[in-house]
Amino acid sequence: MNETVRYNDKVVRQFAIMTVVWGIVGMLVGVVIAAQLAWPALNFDIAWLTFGRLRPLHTNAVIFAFGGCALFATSYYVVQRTCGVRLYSDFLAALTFWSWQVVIVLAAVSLPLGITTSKEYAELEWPIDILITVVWVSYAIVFFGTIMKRRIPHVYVANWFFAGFILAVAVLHVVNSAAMPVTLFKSYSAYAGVQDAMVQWWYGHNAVGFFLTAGFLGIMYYFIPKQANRPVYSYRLSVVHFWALVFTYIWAGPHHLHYTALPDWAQSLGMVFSLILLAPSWGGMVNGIMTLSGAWEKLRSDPILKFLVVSVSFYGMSTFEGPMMSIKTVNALSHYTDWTIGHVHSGALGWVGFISIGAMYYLIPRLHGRELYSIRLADAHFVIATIGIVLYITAMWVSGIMQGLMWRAINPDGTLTYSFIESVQAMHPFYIIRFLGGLLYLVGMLLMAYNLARTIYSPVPAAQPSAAPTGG
Amino acid sequence: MADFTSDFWHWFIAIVTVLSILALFPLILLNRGHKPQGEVETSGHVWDEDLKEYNNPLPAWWLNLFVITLVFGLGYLILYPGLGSFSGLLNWSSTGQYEEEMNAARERFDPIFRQYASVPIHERTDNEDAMRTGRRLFLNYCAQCHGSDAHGSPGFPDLADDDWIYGGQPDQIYQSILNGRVGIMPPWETPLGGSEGVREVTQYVLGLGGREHDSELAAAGKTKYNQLCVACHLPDGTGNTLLGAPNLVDDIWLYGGSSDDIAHSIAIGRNGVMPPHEKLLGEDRVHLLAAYVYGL
Repeated sequence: MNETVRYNDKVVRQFAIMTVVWGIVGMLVGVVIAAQLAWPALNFDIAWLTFGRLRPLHTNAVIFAFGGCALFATSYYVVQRTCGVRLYSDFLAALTFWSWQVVIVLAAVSLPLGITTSKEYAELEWPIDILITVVWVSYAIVFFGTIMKRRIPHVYVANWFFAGFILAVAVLHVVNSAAMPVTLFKSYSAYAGVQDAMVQWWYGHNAVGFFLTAGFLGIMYYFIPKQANRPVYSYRLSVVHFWALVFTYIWAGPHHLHYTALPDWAQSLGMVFSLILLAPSWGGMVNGIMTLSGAWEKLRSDPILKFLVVSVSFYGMSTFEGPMMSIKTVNALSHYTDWTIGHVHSGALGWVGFISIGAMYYLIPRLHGRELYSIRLADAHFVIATIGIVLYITAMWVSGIMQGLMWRAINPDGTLTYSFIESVQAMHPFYIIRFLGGLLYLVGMLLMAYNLARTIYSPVPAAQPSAAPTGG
Repeated sequence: MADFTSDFWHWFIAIVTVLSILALFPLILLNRGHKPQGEVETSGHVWDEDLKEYNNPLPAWWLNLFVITLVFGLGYLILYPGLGSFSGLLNWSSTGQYEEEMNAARERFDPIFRQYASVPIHERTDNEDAMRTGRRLFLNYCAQCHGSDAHGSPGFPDLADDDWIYGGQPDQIYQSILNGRVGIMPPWETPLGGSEGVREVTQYVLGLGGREHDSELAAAGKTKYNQLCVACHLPDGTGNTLLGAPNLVDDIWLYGGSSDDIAHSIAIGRNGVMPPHEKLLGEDRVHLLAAYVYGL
């Protein structure tokens, strides 16, 4: 049916390549700051290289540069193929690519300079925020425009998730970034005190919920059934868990503010809806994993499927861990410890990282009409990265729980058993293990970059070129 | 509850929350589907040549899990605060929990410190148990500024030597911890007639301590010192613990002893604050800390 359609794959290719590039940059910065925590002298007493400035650079680079480019690439690819039409506007699509790269470069310059709003995951100052808004509105026009002119009446489930993600992120970004500019580089939040904290974590948690979950579920819903060559397990489940997920996530933010000045009622609602979120989250895992039933043997030989399926497993694990950590009594131990860092990274490295990596191994050879250069290298990447994740998250679990227990341990006379610095000393070996885990993950990314570069520059076209004609 | 400006918000939160949770029941229960006889069929839609979807019913264990969390959620909101200003049947609050835990801790631990405080500070240092407890207090409340070895750092006095800005007698140490100290060296650059005057007084102060100095400048500085500095630091520079004016001739320098550091202290002044700990720790714990510091 799409003989006459020429998809816009140029913008997909551009975003796909930058996914790999920014992935390496963001993870490299992560490895550097992990090393600084283990060996603080590594900041060389240079302000730009200190942990406080590089840490937001790391989070912004992996979430918005790596994750963002992966979402743009996959959503543009998927929406064209599942709607059977070219992107609504080539100009706006190109605008999203180039403007998004400008946003990333501005972030990479301004954050080390210490220019920050100090809002977590929303550190960029107001001029960059405005540019992000422009990109996002263009993105929405391209995406929804394409949906509007689709030739296939039913909207594929992946597109609902992309749509939910695009709409929610627009609202979150605009509301949380509302600020009064003072100079070009400085603004003050529109909110004050505990309201500011609540708006910030309403945003912060839904950056996780919509950017890093709903968007990446969109990726999952296209690439797993495609790569496994199996129908999605349950249409019903996809409908029900989609609505339950987007409806419930938006309530969960207050669990970041347990035992703070936030009123008890808001803390309770955050906790209750975080627990209710367990089943909607797991709906995606069930659908992803059960889609493979009847095709399990493919997991032995297909590294792309390994990445995708292990990704969904990590998704299931961290979406169990999250609700558990939102329980007030658990949070009293886990909050402010490395456990949180471990939790975030099982989601980031395991779920978001692996699903993006799997999608890139799928996309980039197809987009360039080539076979993947080396299956064995991709397998090696999978093994190395998995070991990296396991080292990372187990180190942070042990370190985090140990920290929490050390902080609350008291002597028979009521004094604290450990001074703060003793808990820092006790974390040191785990910081080294975490650094090694992150380093392995980065090595895997470099293998992927090499493998994909050889693929793109290979002189031999694929024996069976991608079924759909590519254009652009 | 005091954080609502009107009843409207109480009802708004309570109604929206309950309806939201209740709405999830029909969403999952009406859409659960049934296991068909024989093979499960796809929904009939095809995308991108081969993308299809089976129409499997919602897994029963998954539905059960969902229902359990919904019921738990409703139960929790009946027992605990959550629905607007309704405080929950258990009447729990985080402030209440804090007070309860603090009262229990006070009841359990305060007698220990009351007993320690019954012995004068200078005798207390003989008791090893008391000193161990004192050390733990020190590590948690004092070490951030004064260092875990109590040797201090620039701006934060060394507590393990024999030099005391406000006096090293047990009661003086006790007062320093209990009520805190505010040490102010005013900026003297303008009264001294600019940087030249600062240089002269700096040279004189170096000379007072028997250190190498420019005697010509120092001679000019002496006049100025005797007009402006002498009231607090005394003519011989030995300082005054009553005022917290440091001794300038013992070669112990809170803010650094190089001629540049001294010139900075004179020209721009210094502000030192030891915060009061009475409200935070109470008299008995301060007593024990004073004994620990005295015994260092």
